[in-house]
Amino acid sequence: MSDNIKHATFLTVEKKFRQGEVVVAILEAYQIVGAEHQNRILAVVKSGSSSALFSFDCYNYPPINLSDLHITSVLPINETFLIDNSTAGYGVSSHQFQIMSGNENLTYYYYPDEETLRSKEVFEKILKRLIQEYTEENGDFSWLQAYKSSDFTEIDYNIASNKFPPKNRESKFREELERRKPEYTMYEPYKVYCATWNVNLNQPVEDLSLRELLFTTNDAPDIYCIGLQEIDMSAETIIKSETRPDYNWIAKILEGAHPSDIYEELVTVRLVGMMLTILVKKSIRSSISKICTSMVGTGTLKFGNKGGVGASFQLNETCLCFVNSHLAAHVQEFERRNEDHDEILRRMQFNDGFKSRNILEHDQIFWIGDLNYRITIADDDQIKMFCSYDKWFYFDQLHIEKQKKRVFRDFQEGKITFKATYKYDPGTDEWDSSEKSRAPAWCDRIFWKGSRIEQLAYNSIMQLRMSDHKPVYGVFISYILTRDEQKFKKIHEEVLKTVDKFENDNQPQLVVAETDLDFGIIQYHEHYSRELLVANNCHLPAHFKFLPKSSDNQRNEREKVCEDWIKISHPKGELLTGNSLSIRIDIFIDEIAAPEIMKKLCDAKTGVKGPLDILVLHIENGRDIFITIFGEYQPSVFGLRLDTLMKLNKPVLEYSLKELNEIECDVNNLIPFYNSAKGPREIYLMIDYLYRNGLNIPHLFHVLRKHRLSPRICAIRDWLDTWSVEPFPGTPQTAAEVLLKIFESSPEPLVTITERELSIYLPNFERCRELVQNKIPLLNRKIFLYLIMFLKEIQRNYMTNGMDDRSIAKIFAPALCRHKQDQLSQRFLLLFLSNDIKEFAKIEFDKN
Amino acid sequence: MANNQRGGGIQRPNGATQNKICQFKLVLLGESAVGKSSLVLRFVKGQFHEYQESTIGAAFLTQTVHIEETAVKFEIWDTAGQERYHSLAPMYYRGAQAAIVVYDIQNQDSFVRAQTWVKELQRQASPNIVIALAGNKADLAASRAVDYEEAKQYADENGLLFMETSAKTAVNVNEIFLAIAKKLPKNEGTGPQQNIRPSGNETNRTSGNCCSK
Ligand SMILES: Nc1nc2c(ncn2[C@@H]2O[C@H](COP(=O)(O)OP(=O)(O)OP(=O)(O)O)[C@@H](O)[C@H]2O)c(=O)[nH]1
Ligand SMILES: [Mg+2]
Repeated sequence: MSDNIKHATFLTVEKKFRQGEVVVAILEAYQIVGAEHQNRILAVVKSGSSSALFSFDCYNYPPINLSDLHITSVLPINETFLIDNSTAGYGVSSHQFQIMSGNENLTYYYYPDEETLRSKEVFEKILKRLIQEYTEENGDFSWLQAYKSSDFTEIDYNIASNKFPPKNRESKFREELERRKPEYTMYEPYKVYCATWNVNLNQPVEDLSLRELLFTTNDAPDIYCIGLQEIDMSAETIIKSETRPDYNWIAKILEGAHPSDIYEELVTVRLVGMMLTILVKKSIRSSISKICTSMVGTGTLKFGNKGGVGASFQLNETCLCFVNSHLAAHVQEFERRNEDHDEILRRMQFNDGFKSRNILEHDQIFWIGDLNYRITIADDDQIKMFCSYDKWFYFDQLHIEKQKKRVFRDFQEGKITFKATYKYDPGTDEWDSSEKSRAPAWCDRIFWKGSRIEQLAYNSIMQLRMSDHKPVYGVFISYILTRDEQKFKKIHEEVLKTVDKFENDNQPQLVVAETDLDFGIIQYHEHYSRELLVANNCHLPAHFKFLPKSSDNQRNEREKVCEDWIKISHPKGELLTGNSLSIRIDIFIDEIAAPEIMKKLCDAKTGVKGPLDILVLHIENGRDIFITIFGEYQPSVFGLRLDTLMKLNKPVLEYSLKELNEIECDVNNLIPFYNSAKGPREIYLMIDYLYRNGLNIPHLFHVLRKHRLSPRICAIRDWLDTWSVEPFPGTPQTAAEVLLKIFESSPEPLVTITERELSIYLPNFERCRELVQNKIPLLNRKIFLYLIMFLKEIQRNYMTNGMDDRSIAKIFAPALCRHKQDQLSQRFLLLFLSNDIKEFAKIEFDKN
Repeated sequence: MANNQRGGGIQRPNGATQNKICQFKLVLLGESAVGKSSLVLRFVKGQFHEYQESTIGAAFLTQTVHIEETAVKFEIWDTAGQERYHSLAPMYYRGAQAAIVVYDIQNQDSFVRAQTWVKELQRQASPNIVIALAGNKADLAASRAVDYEEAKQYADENGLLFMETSAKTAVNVNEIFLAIAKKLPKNEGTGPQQNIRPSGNETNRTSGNCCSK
């Protein structure tokens, strides 16, 4: 590059960087990517004491705008950095060099002119100096982070190294959206109000108000979670495992909620005596989804007189769980209580129809209830006197068990400042005065688990006296992850773009050495093959297959990958990164293919050397590559119509495709038969030769013809196609084979009588003779009779050649009639072989 | 955006976004060297290559655009323009909901070829296909051979979207894709992944937080 341009380029490159990042040197080079050579500008950039090499794709040369340059790679100049000229020279350009750092290994070469050579030397010197300067202390490469994001091709190295299967779009999308969650979400405070009360079988009588329990704060809570126990413990309820909510209590709860807002019942779940009701402010209802409930009955009978009920829902982006439980009773049964707790934890599952989650799989959990843990100390009276929890928590079974991590592991509880909530004489604030005189205990509790929860209050309500328990409430500020819809929309859009980019960048790719395969001259009955080299230079495994091409709908053909006479060695396959495969494409024109290819060439009208076919190489989840098959088919007498053969007045090779085509299309026989004999020259030559040399050859015609493909066929093909004056180059057997092949390769069968017609007229010879007369055109009729006369001659020499009329019919019926099944055509031939046809033939031969 | 696709759903207080994704197959057709690949490259990667290789096959890329509340994902098939591959084109426009037929404004023949592509699409492609005509290389208007008015009139007569574009300067590239996205039907079941999540729970009446896909 001239100095001017170089300077301009330098200035543009500089603009790509921030203050404090100094462009030390630039070099223009090509990067070798697969089979491509891409324009690059390399730049060495220093920031503080560390430096890096940047490789830019250059869309406009010289680059003027920032958008003309895109970063393709960033290589920190650290201990792994290497510039290597050693690969150069071995069959590759001596101007090639490699740059390596970390996992990357890039190959470049530079313009082989003096000037660039000099700049390259300078560039390399600078690089080498920087490599030497590198030490671990000055290797702070965090400044590179800014250049590593979106500008880059996003290659998933996990896939590249085959560690993971390629991610699908879906999971990439979710992953990306999740990763960027902090950008479109924030925490918003919600007030959660929990209350638990063992109502001791009391009905919600008319003059009961829950205001005292539920309206203790100035601000209206957003969510109420009210857990009751022992609303009904009748035998009937227990046996039925009653789950219908008790609407009397729900009505009381709704009445008791904070008066300055409107609440609605979100969900209620009940099991026998336990009921959990969630109220929410009407205004937040629409932010709630995935509401589901669950219940677990514990104890030996699992009827549900003990156990837990729970509710789960999602508020904005946070999953919340509320559990109300009533655990086993009696002082000494603390281990049963632990088991009940564990069982609830284990068995309680919330299923929203998509996903099932257990209690702990929630962001925030509130667990309330009559947990029934007692104070274990001999002297009950002492507790009654000092009812502050401070004195007794050492003896609180729940405290002890939690300390031992046997229950409520990782749950938190607020400081208890209220009197024991059990057991009172109903209607009073007096301790149990009954005979049992139960020791007081803090049975009714509120626990929570999860981050961003603050407790504001934790207290009991002494004034509610109808039960032997006092109710307990807890008030919380709970920070709920909430989506900012505006931001979310923007990020959602960006994520979709990232996913597009991911998808586009992680497309498997294959390179083929060439997209045109030229087979040169193609002759009848020769094998040709070409190799198609396919390589996977991308970072993903690639599955490929050749696609069937849609044919025009009108013709109703089956969809084919290629013409029947082309064979592909690997119609599909897989190529791992770095691997290559040579796919062999074979062409063989046999007697079936010969008329097909003639027809195709004539239809295409592109001249002899047009594309013969196009293969569609499809890479799964990627692009398609078209492979064009070229070849020059050399028409031969094989594959031509029998009447065409009659119209040739010089060797077939001397005709142009166009001329041949005209003759082939001349079905109305406007072009005179050049050859006025009984049949085409080729048939005549074969039969004549066999008359003279073949009648006594054992098994002249062989039933198992597939095994007799002879290379001499090709010599005979040339001999026929050139009207050679040399002696016949084959043997009687090959002449016999060629005779059959001429019949087999003509576009239409010699005997143009259908199976159906035969089925009507067989076995009557006279009627069949009429059929021949009426249904077979004169030319074919002559050839047919001529052939039959010859075959009768073979048959006559049965004693020496072993060919009886049955085997002759068996061999010739398919070649002459081409019916789906050969029984009828064989019988038809037998009829002609066994009857006298001399007179018939004589009359026909004389016709013109 | 309508908030009641679940029947009487309540809108989220802070303005619900229902993120719907519609997916469409789009194919580019047109004579070789008119700039099909360049248009796709510009649209998908924001790049332009002076020496864009001729496409021998069909390249596949995706790009999502947003119209109001709807994300429209284009699955783009960039086809080979060389005449010898003409017979393979149906494989790519079959089932396409949209097509961009491209010509080079400097080349009258390419415009004629574009018209035969349009005819073929009208005859053989899906009946509802949205077709856009792009007169590319608008940056080279100095050597223009196809009149804007002439092309515009042709497009109007045939109900095609029409723009003169430049893959090089990016003029009208995003615009033509957006115009197609706008014209495509987005409510009916387009593509395999319409993005409304079925509600699993009867009580679940919210319209918001189903993350789209
Ligand atoms: N000035 C200018 N050149 C363009 C524009 N679009 C494409 N080109 C150039 O035109 C040439 C052909 O562009 P391609 O995108 O390869 O054309 P194509 O239609 O994909 O061609 P095929 O793949 O052969 O069908 C390339 O050299 C491009 O750089 C344009 O808007 N302005
Ligand atoms: Mg192209």
